[in-house]
Amino acid sequence: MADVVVDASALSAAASHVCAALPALAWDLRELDAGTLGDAEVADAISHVTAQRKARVAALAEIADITATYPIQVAAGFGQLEDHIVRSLQ
Amino acid sequence: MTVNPADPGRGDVAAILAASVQRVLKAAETREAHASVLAAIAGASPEVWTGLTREAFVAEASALAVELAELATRLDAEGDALSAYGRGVQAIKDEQRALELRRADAAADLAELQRHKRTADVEHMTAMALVAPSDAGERSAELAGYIAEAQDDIAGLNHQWQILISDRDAVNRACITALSGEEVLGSLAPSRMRGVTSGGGLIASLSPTDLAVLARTDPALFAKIAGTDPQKVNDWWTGLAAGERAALIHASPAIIGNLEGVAYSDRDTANRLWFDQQLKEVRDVLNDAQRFGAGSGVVGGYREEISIGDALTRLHGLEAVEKALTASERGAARFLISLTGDSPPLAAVSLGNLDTAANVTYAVPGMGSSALTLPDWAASAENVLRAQQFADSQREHAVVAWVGYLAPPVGGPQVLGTDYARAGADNLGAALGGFSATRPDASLNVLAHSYGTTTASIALTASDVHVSTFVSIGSAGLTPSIDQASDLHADNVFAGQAQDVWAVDPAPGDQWAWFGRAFSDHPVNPVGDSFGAQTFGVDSGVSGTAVTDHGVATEGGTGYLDANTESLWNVANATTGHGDLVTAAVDHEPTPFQEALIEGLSSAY
Repeated sequence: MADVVVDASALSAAASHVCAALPALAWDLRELDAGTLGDAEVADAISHVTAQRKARVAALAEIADITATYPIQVAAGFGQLEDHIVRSLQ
Repeated sequence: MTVNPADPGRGDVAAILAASVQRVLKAAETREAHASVLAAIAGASPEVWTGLTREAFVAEASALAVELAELATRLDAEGDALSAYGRGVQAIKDEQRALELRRADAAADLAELQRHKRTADVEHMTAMALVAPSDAGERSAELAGYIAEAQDDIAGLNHQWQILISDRDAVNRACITALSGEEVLGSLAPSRMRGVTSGGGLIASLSPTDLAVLARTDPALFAKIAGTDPQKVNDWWTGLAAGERAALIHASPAIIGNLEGVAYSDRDTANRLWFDQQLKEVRDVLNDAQRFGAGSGVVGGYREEISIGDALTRLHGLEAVEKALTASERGAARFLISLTGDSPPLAAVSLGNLDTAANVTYAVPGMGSSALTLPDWAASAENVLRAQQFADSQREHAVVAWVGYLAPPVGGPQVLGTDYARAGADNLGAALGGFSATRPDASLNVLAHSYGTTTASIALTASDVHVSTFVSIGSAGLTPSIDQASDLHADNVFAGQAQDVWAVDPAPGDQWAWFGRAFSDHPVNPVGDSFGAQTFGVDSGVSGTAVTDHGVATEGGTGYLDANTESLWNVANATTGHGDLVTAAVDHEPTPFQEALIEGLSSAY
């Protein structure tokens, strides 16, 4: 069953809101080495956490990317349908 | 313990505290992202948008919002851990500095006292020699007492230094504990992961995002999901949102691409991704070898070390897989439903969509097959598919060109044994079991040729494998334990065999199948009367061209799976539920060559 769109601009806004989450999902934090931390085991622990953080933001960015496409695709599909109807009426 | 005893306050506190602040700021940024996603959900209200896609969007965005909120909380906890650590290190540093000063003062005092005592001792000795009056002896004794006190002070300071080292160790331990704890790592904290060692356990206890993280950070543990019951995998996979599936595919394409129970279109996406990664890897290896010289024959790939020979074999295999994935003109769409990292890789290409086809046939090739022959095997599979579409136009069909096992090489003695078949049967059984779990509504068939019949028949005796129809063509023989069609877990068993001829016999026929049966550990002939299969004609000339060769394809179009052969039409009918339409097998009369042989042998006696 196709979706029904009443307000296409609201869909565009929804997609934009999801896309706005993407910059937060870029890993831009400085790496901490054993010299800075003063201990190799602490450095290992933070390195493990960082690896998980990087993997997590990468996964969440994938999810955000795809989530944002839903309203865009629906709006585009609905737009094509509208054009088709207009052409049919003409 | 890794504390430096000479410098227990080691570490750049300013940088540690700055890192702590960075994490807190990142947490704040993540909370803003969370708020933005919540705004997206609120904005996509039913008043402006209704339908299934909206529901999917809201569900996926809601899950994303939960993940973002959790991430922010964990970043805060990480920032707190680093802040506590930084402050702890600073306290150690301060204490270290104070102790160092006190130790320096005490050492200086001691040196001074020792110098005074040495002077007093000299004066005392001189006075004694001159028999002169002196208080130097008393002073020396008094200084000795002060020296003992100073040495006690230094011992006390050294003890405090040792305590400081222990304190630093405690600061380190506290930080490691915090960083390894649930507040920082969530479900992936060691305390939560303890005891979760099976694939089923991973799926049951971790969110899709956690699994994607695990796939990237602990691939060996994540790989355990490969052994999970396909039914459980299917239940789990079908419950995931598109974004979650994409995250897992990108995190571990090699595992997801071959995970039984995962939707085949998603496996195709994953395997094509892994295909690209493998192709880049082998090309990098070969480029490095070309630039830096082959040397020992082994150069570093970015994931593992592979020899140049292996890299070349894998490259040629991958190129063949790529060719097999190219759909012919007006041909069915092709999907890469399995791919290994072997050299050459094992692979399976589906012609037609396994997620939607009502009738699916796995085609299992015989000796000499590998990724290198996959394009040809896919071409034969396409012939089968087209014939099926003609035989049963009401249903959607798909045929899998399955090169999922290491087949015995042509001309080698291995073809006379069953080791390759048994290993291949495990792989095929897993693939068939996976299909049944993923598509319980579809009909499943197996078509096998030559040594592939040996392999497939063993797979079809596994307790968890069952197919609608098994078709054997040009069989190299089945094992003695499979001497009845009823031994196979198949509702219908069909077998076709061209005239047995020797390789030197000029008469048309199958030159190799009989040889495979006659001199091997798999002598059972599925077209034999006692076996009980429904036999069909392949060289009677009725309804199609007669087969004149052991191969599935010949230049003259007379292989078992060449277009318009009697064999192909019968295979198509057998695998589409029209077994009643197959043509009858003919009794083969001896060829003139065979007659001459028989006559010669008779005359000899």
